Amino acid sequence: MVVNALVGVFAGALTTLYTVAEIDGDLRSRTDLMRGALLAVPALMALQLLVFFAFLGGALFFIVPGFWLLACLLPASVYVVAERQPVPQAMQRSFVTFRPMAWELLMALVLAFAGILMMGLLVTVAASLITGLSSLPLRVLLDALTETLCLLLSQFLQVLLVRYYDRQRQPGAVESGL
Amino acid sequence: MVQTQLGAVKQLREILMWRVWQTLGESLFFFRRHFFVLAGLLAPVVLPFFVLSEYRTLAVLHGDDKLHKTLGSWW
Repeated sequence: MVVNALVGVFAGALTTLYTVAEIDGDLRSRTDLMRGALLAVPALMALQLLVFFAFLGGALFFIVPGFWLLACLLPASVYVVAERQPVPQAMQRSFVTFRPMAWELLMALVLAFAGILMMGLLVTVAASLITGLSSLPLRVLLDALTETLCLLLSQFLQVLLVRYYDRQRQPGAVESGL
Repeated sequence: MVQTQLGAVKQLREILMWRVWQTLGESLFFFRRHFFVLAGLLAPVVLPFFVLSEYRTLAVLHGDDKLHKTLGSWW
């Protein structure tokens, strides 16, 4: 359980680093990306815990503020990974930057999440039809492959967050409310 | 007052209909273009963990307690 969560966080960090490097045209080696992602894991775990508590705190006030806070704070992971900012500063910066566009970001995240969920369900159902017929070692491998594919699909959320992060750092983005 | 409200509704509609879809489309385009590179980066690291995790789950389901004890409850 804990290992699976750590693997998920590592995958998110790796995707963020790769996406930011690609957008910036900065060619980074595989080892460099891996090292950067691995170093960001402890900070990301702390960040996820804090964001979860913020969401719970907001949700106490009739749920909606929880989601609003979630949308404001989720991009903090990009600041932690790409700019290596400490967790409190990253949260503060994310809150200040994304507060004017929280609802838009939330809507994009919900749409993306719904798409990923549907794709994940399709993949899982298709895989379960195959794995039901296969032998035990093959079943283990196919289940693991399905899980990997679902994790890979879920990385779209991270790409989306990086896209929003990239949009707000463009010149004039703050003035135009982007 | 009505003008302001109409302006707000128009702005909201623009946001809902354009900016969200534009960003989603751009992200999707990027994701589709880099999907296999990302898979190549992630799969070698992630797959062994998932294989072990699945194997452990199935072993427990089949009453093989040894592996569960060896790996511990962290899995």
